[in-house]
Amino acid sequence: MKGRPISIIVIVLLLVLFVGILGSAWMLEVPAYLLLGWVIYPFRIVPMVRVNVAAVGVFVIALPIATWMLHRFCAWLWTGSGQASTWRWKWSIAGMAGVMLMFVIGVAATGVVHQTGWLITSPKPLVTSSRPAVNRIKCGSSLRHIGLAIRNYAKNHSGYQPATFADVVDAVIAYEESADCFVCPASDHDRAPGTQPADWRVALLESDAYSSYAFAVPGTLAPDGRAVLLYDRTIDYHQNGINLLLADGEVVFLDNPAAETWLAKQ
Amino acid sequence: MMDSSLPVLAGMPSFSLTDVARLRLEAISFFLMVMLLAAWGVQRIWNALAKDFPRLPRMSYGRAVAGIVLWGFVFVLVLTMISGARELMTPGAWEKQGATYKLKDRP
Repeated sequence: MKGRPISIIVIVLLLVLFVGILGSAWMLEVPAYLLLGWVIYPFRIVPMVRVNVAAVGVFVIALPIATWMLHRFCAWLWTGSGQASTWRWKWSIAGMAGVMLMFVIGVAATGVVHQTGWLITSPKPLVTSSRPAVNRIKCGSSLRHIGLAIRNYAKNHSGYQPATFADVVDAVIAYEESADCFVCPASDHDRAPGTQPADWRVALLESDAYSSYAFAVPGTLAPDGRAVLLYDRTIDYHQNGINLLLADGEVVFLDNPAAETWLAKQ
Repeated sequence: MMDSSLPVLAGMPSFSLTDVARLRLEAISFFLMVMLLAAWGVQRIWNALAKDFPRLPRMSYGRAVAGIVLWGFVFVLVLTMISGARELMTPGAWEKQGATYKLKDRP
């Protein structure tokens, strides 16, 4: 029997590990929120509650009056039914406390039923994927690779940075030996076709369909005043903002609505 | 707002609950906790009365929980009947707004 709790713990841990590996964190979140959500709930709700002083006043006055009336009624019924002893205040108070508890239970049961109903019939998604966040990171990583290629270009050109998109393409293809990093995984752009660097160059310069990033006109500044080299063509990739590659090689993420305002100026 | 401290994520994407689902589960958890605490209160009151009224049997916590679940169902049933009666008494006066109902504006 001693081994039983240990084996249960091991099974639970293995299940947790298995679910974690599957990437289904929500399967762990549901029991966790059901077990501990009640601690968080009052902190979120209480600040939003408005106290109606008049209603509280009515309750404070009505409660002892109702208890007294209940006591008088029960005492009359008790004596009238031929009981030798007297009806005690303790019983009346217990009865009134029971009524209060019944009301609280009813409200709580209604809360459980309604919240469960809303949860099941919610038109909004209940589970979200981390893929957008991963794509955002990958997109930033691609831009960082382009930044490294540009630094290498500047090193070989007496410190001058690429002046045109063609220069950027040449710098990246020479440094990366690939044109893959021109594609943000969250976009619908295709990788430049072909097997040779010359093919990629032609494709990238002929069509915007093979680069998720736009070349910033020299002198373009980010909101913090630093020079921008490349940027996401649209906020549609990540929905909540755009990545910017700065001249110093750093990649920054510009949140909406700042991203929309900044893009509108380009 | 500029953010240059991007977290590093690796591996396959994971699926987690949305904020809406979390808030609902928090609320359900809270109301369940209220019910469990209320069951304890009911058990205490019942057993206190049982000392003075020998006819009342002692109540275990499990039975108290069962009792309040039954009472909860009855409460919800009555509320549902009230909402049905409301519709019968004032047909068409209420319109669905999101998850609840509100009185229609007068024409």
